[in-house]
Amino acid sequence: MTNDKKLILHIDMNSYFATVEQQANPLLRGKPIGVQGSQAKRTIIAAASVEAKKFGVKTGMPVHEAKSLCPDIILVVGEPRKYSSVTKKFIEIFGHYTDKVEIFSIDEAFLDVTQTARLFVREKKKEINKKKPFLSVIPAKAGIQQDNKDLDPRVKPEDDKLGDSSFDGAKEIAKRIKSDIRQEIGEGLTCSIGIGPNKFLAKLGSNLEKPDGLVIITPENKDEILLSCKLTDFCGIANHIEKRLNQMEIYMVSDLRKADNWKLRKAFGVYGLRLKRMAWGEDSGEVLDWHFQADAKSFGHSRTLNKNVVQKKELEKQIYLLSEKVAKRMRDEGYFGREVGIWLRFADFKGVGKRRRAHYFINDGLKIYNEAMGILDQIWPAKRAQEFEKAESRSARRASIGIRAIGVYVTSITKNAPLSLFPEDKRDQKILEVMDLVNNRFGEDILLRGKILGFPLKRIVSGMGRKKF
Amino acid sequence: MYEKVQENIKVLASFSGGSVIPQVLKWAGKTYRIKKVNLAYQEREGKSINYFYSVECSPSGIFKLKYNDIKLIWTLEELWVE
Repeated sequence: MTNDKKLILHIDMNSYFATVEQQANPLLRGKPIGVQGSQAKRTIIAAASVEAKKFGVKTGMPVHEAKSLCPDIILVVGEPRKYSSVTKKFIEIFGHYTDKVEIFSIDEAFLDVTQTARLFVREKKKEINKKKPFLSVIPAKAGIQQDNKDLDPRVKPEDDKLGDSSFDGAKEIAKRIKSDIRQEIGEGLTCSIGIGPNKFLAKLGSNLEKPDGLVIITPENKDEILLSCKLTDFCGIANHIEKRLNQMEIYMVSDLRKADNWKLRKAFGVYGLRLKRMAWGEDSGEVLDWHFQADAKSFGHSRTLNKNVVQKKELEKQIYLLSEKVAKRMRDEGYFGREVGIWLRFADFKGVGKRRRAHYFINDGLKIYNEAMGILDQIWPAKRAQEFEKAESRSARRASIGIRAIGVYVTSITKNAPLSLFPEDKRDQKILEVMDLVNNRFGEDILLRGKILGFPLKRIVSGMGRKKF
Repeated sequence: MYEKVQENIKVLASFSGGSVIPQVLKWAGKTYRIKKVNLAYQEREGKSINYFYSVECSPSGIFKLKYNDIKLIWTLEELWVE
């Protein structure tokens, strides 16, 4: 089901973290820079500047790989709070144009301007009339309008073509948002905006022209644009899905349009039918009013370790710190969770993970940690440990079979959890409330659990996590 | 050249319309006139809010300043000089 009468904007900040750093420090402008998670050796590029992207540097690439592609790359340690603060500013700007703003990620948002676009067509017309010299508003039949337009350099020919179409209103909103961002946040910050009759087409549009693009996909030009796209241009088709589609002899959007529904459903489930709708540019998703964002489905944090770890004990500290971080975010947003999971990524980039159900709903870091350690015992790769024992040198062992990254997450979450009635659990909950009160008032890490004394203290800085703004 | 400084400094600032804009700063016996605020952002630290400013100064230099709204202290956090 589609509704082509809607007007949706998708706004994507270009090379976001890198551009914010270049905005803060003009000495970095025009140079290839990479924002990294931390100063640790094994960190990845969280964002690359437009200049670094020209060398092939991509988001998520290990720093050593980025350096080999672009030896002159300047590495800057990212400041997640700086980016969150800037994100808040542009959300405020979006709020000037519609109340329907859906924050898709820290640097992307959807705006539904169906109701407000027309207002901006009228405003733009008034503005043009104000700019024109008096004679230019005399009806064209007097033969004067064209001449006077030439006299006023502020009136561009394309402004005069402004019709009553709502797409013109949406285009006007897009232009104003770009200008507001430059004026209110910084002249170096640019965004690509896609305008379409649904979220899918709007997002596709913003991806087609970067940086600082503005692409309008209307019901009239959508077929031409869609058929010229690669399958991976679509949000929701990554390389692994493309590979599976190719196995079904679907190589182009036109092939996907003709694909058999039954075969798609058999291969991808319900998602298969959604893929076909994408090929036709259809999407029934609504832009969520930003006061009523969808509830979180899980909370998680992960970390790439400084060196490959081969001993289970070496992971304890990381699991504890990640568990506390997950728990604090859950408590801040009022959630409890029932299932705890962890995943491990090995040096060869293969991985293993598992989750298990806790006895009751929790949001206490220590309890999440205990559950996670229980899972670690179950998934600890005994076979790899045997290989480790056989390997010739310690460094060879680490390089080949060590654990490179770890993540902890909590799912099955709710805000209305039946809590444990055991007195010790009630006491623990009370202690947590007091700890949070003190830490929220005087700063993070003012009160810490005694368990942390066993570990050297170092704040984890990498990763943004899912954040509410 | 980049330097992490983290020193409390004197700043002349204008407070108007709910915003704070640093104008002049004094550090290491030198007075720097702020030509431009490149980026302003804020972060909460417990009950207080830290306001950060990345500013361009004359004589040339890029300074990162922090203003704490409870302690009423300006700090020079970092500086870059070409």
